[in-house]
Amino acid sequence: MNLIPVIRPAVLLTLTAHLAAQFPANVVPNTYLNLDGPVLSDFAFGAYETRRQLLIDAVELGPSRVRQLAGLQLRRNAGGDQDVLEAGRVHVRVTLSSSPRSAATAEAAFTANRGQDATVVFDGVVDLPACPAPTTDPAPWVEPFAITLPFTVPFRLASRTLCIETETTPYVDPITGTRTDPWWPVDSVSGRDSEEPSVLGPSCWSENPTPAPACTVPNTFVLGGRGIFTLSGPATPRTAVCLVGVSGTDFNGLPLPFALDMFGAPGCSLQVAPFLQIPTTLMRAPAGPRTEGRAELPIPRDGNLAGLPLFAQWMVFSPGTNILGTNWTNGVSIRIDPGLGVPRFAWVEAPDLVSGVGHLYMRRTPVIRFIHN
Amino acid sequence: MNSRSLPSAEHRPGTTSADPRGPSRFKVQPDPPVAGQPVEVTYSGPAKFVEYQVDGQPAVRVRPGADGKFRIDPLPSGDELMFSDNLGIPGYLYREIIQTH
Repeated sequence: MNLIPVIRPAVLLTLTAHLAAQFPANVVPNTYLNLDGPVLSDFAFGAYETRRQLLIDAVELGPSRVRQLAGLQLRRNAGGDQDVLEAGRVHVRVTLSSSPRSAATAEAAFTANRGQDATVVFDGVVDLPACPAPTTDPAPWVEPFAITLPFTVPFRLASRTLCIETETTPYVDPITGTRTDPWWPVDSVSGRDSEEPSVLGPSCWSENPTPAPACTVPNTFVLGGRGIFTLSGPATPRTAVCLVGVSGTDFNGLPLPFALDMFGAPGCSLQVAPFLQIPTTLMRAPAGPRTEGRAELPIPRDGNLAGLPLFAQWMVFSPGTNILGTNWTNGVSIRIDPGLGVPRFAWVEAPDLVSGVGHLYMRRTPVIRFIHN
Repeated sequence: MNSRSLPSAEHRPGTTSADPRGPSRFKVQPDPPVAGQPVEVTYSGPAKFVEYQVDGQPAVRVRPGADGKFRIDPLPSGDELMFSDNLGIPGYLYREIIQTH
């Protein structure tokens, strides 16, 4: 008699029970079961319109992948954070699905990560409790230090990666019409620090007030993401061009930086060898006497691009400032994330509910405790 | 560029319709801030660097520390304090500065 068909289910059941015992609380990332995460985040409970996706590979989920998920918990940030949190309300909609992608292959487009079994498991107002400063580190998984979102329908993961999608909107009291602006940061992990951008050369853009140096949002430069170059300047809106290149030392045999004095822009220099020009309008910021602009560069999921250095510089049209009529900012260089190691978490975020594409951050996640049936 | 080709890009102009007095990824203590006194700032968003600016003075770029915190000590004199993370509407905060004299 072949006992394997009989033994195999029994072994699997035993193994599952063993795994469940190994992950009694099923906290993700499990490293932070009894350890406060190094950062805080506004995941789900920031009082402004935001759509997020969180991709968690099943290897991090432990035995929950063989059980039904019935809810999740998020705990407040602790560590050195002794803030007293005020009560508030926010509206949250949570959709779970079995993602066709892994965290490592997440895309900035929301639809690319969402599985066909997408199920709304929570849709309602969340009462954020008033919370004193935590006396334990990490904060305990009990109210008011933690918030529980019970699912209205259980969810069973059918693939390698769980996709948690949240849509957050401010809560407006239906009677008074007032809204609360709660601040309830949750304990989170952001993975390793991304490489810092390097500044290349000076800027010749001298106005009052002095424009901030051109920069980047470094952790957006990941495969499948959208890298962001930023510039802010004085209050008057104007046109600028973001020059993007792959070298900061050579432009078709021309050594860089290259002085532009002879072209009528004294004190200015070309810092990058551009292969791409992104025209941008620097617009008035919502506050302060300044303008802001950003240029976004879609980065294909091509392993050959991992670690590739990128260089950027802004040319700002400033008629009358010199014969060339342009100011040239400092250059900035940033490497596309080299992708060392396999990320098990990916976070996509858009600052509204209508954008189909957000910004992708690897290895960023809140610390989550899953509840099972 | 062989296999390292990058696609066309797009520009995203700065936002003009946000209300920077509303909810934000930034929190300041004390709120409102007071000129000449320290301000404790907590940032909860994903950016590694953020900027703040007082009136028309040059913007200051800061890397928030552990738990998203950084300190402005003391807050320079001025009328307005503004924060930005360059990541859209929730990434702004505007506060009027309380004058002590």
